[in-house]
Amino acid sequence: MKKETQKILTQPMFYVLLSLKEVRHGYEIMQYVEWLTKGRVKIGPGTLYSLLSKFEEDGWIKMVSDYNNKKTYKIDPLGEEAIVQEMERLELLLNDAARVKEGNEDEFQNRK
Amino acid sequence: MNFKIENNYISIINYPTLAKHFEKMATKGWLINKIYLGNLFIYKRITPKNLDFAITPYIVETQYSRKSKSELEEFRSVCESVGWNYAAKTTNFHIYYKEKGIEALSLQTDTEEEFKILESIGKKHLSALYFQIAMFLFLFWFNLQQLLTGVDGFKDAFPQLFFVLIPFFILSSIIEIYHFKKFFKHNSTQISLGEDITFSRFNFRFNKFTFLLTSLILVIFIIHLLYGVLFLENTILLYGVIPPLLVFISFFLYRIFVKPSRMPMKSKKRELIFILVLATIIPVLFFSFLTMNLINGKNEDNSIISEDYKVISINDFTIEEVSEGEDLIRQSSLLVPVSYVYYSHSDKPYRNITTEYSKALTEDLAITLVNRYKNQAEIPIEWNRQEIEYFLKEGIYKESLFKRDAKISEEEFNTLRKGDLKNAVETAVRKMKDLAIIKDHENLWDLDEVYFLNVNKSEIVLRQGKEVIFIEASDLNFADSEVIEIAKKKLDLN
Repeated sequence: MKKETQKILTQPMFYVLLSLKEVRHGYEIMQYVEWLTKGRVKIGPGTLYSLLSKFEEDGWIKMVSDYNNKKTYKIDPLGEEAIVQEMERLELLLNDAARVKEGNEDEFQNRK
Repeated sequence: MNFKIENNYISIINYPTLAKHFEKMATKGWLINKIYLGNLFIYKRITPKNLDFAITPYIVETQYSRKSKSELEEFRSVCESVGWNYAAKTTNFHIYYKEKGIEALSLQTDTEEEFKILESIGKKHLSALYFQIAMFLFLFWFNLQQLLTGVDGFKDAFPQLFFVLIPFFILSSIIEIYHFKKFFKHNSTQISLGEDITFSRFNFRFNKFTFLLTSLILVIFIIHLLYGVLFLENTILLYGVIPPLLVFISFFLYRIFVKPSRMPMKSKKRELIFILVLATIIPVLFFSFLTMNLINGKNEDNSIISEDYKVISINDFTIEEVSEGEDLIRQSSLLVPVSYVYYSHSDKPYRNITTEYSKALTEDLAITLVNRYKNQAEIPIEWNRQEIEYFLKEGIYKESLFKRDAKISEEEFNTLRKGDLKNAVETAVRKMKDLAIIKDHENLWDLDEVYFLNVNKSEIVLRQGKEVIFIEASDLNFADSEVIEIAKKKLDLN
């Protein structure tokens, strides 16, 4: 049964969903994330396969094929929605950080 | 020897500690090869090596799903492609190793995700533990009653075996629950602060000991079962094994075919409920059939009883032989090494006689067994308690109850009613027991101990030395001299 979209995604959740915009198998997901983040984010197999099981159960991804002991997956609409929501949340965070960087203490003190 | 067996304990709260243990074992030339039931660790011989071990939580099986062989193979090959070698697995963990100094990507790279998996495993385990405790408490109470007061608890080995185990199971479960809850409480805070998971260093010695004890008692249980079925030819034991076996097979088939399938969750839940219902119905139906079979008995030309058995049958008390059904169930336990129950039954005329023979280990145990039979005889009298209370309250003098069974006259009945109701009921019940369960004061049987167990004297318990014989007959009076003579001769008590 498909569940409601989660509000906050952890870093591995975000990158795994992102990587499944295209059809990929497990090892390929790990390689793609490492490439995308220039080695900054590495996802271990234990973390990855637990996430894949959870995403499949929640209807965020679907299995596309199962051949030669390799399952491939692709993101589903619910999963796309989760990424969009996460990106919006992160954008809000960045906007807030940008405002602070610009210096808005006076605005805060005079807000009343 | 090329393998080694170890009694250990792996769970979500201590598995990194075990990784260190495996490293130590590897330096001594032992590599973990298999883990059964989370406690039985099997190692295989290797050349002593310095190895790094990594244990990753990886849910292989839940109530409704099970990873297929290809899924497990895929996971394994991915772990191997990042530098690890497969060692062993359990339902919730995979164990890998590599040589020290060789680079490999960690199997778990995110603490928060790892903790979520542990929480998922832990919640299910805790639910199972709560259910276990409730079930064991019930079994303990039931077994305790049987062992302390019941006849079967004395003669049957199974309650005696389970009674030893149950307190250990309960305490073991409590220890686990305590440590699990402590682990989750502490680490929920740790994770929210961005810290690493802190694992338990508790040694769980008690849990390991409980597993060892359970294994030992299981072996004794199986030996006793085989002895009962093969040597004592106790078909009841054999029949008793069939329902749990059928239930086990049903769950096994569910595990093999339904769990790994891609059936929707709703269908899998339906299948599981169906099996649970079947698991309840099968034993009930089976034992109903068994009971009917026992009541009807067997009709054979040749009796199943040889002269070695001290039992009485319907034809011992008839002038003309009648068609008789009979059944014999043999038992054995530590306290009562030899015992059997013989049922003799006829339809025309309708009669039945039950003989229960027991030879206790010591005379003191035989005396205790006689007292158990006396306690057992009080139970049907106790069932009348509510009825007595009702009649006393309403002022209804029921002759069959008060006059016949308690020898309470109408005058006495009215006097009792005037006093406290609770005392009146107690007095009536006491009188019924005193009338029903009486010693053979006249020494009619001339044995070490004899008690008549009901008002009609159609139930009796006899003891001579270590031998105890209980007889229940539908229409015999065991105070009758003729009946005594025939019974004593047949039971070889002269």
